[in-house]
Amino acid sequence: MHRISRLFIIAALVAPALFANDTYRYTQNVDKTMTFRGGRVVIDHSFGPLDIRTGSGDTIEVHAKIRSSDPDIGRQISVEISPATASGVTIRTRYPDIHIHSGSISYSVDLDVVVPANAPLMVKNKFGSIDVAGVRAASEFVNAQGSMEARDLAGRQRLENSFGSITLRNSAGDTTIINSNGSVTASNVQGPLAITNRFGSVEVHEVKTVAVRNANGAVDVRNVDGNATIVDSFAGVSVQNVSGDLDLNNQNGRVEVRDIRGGAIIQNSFASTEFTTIAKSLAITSNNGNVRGGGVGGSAVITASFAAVEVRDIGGPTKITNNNGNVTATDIRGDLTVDTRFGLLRAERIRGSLDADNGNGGVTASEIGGNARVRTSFSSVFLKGVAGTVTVDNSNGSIAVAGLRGACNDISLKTSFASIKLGVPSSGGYNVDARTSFGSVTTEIPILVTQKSESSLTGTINGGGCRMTLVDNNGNITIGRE
Amino acid sequence: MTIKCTDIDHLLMEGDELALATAAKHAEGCAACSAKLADWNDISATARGMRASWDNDLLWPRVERAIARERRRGWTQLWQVAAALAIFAGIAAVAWITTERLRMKEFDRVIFTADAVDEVDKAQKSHVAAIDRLEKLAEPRLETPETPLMVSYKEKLMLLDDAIAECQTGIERNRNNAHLRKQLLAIYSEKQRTLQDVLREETNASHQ
Repeated sequence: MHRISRLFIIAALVAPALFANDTYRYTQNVDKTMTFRGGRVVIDHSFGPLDIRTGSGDTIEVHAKIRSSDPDIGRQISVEISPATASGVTIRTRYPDIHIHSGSISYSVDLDVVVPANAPLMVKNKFGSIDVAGVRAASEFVNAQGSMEARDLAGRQRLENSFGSITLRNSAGDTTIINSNGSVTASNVQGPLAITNRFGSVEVHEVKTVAVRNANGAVDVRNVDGNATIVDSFAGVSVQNVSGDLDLNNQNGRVEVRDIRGGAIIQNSFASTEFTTIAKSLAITSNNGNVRGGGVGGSAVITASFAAVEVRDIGGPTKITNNNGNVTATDIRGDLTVDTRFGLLRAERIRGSLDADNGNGGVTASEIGGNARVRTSFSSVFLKGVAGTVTVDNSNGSIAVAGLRGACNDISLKTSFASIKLGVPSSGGYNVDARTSFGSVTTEIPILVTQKSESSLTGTINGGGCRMTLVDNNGNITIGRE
Repeated sequence: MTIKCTDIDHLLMEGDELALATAAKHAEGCAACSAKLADWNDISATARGMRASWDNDLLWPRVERAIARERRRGWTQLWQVAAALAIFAGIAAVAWITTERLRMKEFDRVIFTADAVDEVDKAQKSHVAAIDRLEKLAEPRLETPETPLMVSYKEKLMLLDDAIAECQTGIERNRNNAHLRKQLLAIYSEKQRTLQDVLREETNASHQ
């Protein structure tokens, strides 16, 4: 026991000596309390973290911890607090002018401030973080070169940062967030939320109305109880579960949209656009990017170029304009209008009419509930199961029409340098006018011929009725039975 | 006080000064009691002459041991008090050392030590070297950007250079500030990533 006691005594005597030369760790605390008398609380801080909390009373409490590697410099650092007046209070951290460029003098001030919850704030920090909670009055927070975290706010709030992240949770008022080169995360914002960013990601969820403007940073928006407006470029945009309308404009970045209970307007370029479940109408403009999706409750207008368009399950009239890209449209519960070039068109289960303009691209369509009108060139046209009139204007490409539904509808097929093949239902009555040059007209069904040559045939099928005009040039015409 | 001859025995048995004086006073007037008193005095005188003393082999060591024990107990109590004080001082010292170490650790977390700054400088030099290499490769593309994406990258790099300059100005007057050093390192890292993205885009574009 004596030995242990001696050790303790030695330790007690040696310990102070261990820290005797600790003069370069200068620490000083500053504490001040005052009564808030109205106005605005201005906090101007730098070189250290800034924590702001709110209290229930009207007291402003300031606690600062000054640290310096040099006691002389440390003693010169001050936290200036102006007297509280009706116009407000100013809390400012002051550092001495240091012109030593080769030394290792360093310092920092941790500043903790407690303010009344209803006190409006104007807060600035640089080279340190801002952490704020519970502010219930219109305030502004500006930071640079440090992160910013805000939560449980109310009233109009403005949060600005550069070269640091911004995280906002639970804000009940209008909120504006501006950042550059730092990520932005906002959740549970009950007022309109506007976010501007430049080179950082934006993540938003559980908000009312949101407007995001970003450049060169990914955007992820989820669970919006209102409208969403998003502008971005050079990065992906993902939007999910918006109860209002969506207006999205992106460039050079993938777009993924799902579960929009309003309508959606989407613009994109040089990257793919995918959508699922848009309750109302949809308008997409895409350049050099694939468009793919389905589940639209209303009409759809899609303009694209140099990439494929693939849509399904559209609840209303659908118009697709494409250039140099394939188009596939299935399960359209309205009219389908397609204008494309240099790509294949495939349409299936169209409840309304089909109106297709193609150039240098084939057209394959089946189960068309209304009329089918197709214009193309240098490619074949296959139509099956059209319930209305059929009009095909082709050149340098074959035409094949079969499975016509309904007793009788007008048919007009025109092409050149390729064949025309038509399957006619047995019950249909037609006035036939078939002409070609450098080809033959053959029929597999009985026609009451009124005029016939090797290259032309005029007559009636089943006593006549609907118009059947088949015109070819350098191609055979075949009329067959279904 | 009036006494009877029958009381004389009791007085002699009591034997104190008052009792003996009372008995003597009564004996002055009573021959029988006077004789009895004279015998008592003779016996008492004889008994006083017969007093003797002797050494006991068991008693004295016991007494000595008891005295030594008492002395030792005194020293033990003293040691116990001293030990308690020492332990208290030791615990206080350990607590103080722990607090000081925590304070130093907290301080060093905010204001880097020279060793930590050297480590950061090393990491920074490695970033700067990598950035220099990447900048040389990306320079032709960034000099005359041909796509909006390259314009955007150029803008971002300019922004990062501004931030680096701002941080360096801060570090010139606050060299070991941990936040500044970490921030500068993060910006260098971001610049390196951005230049890598530029070169990747350049490669993709050349493959298209």
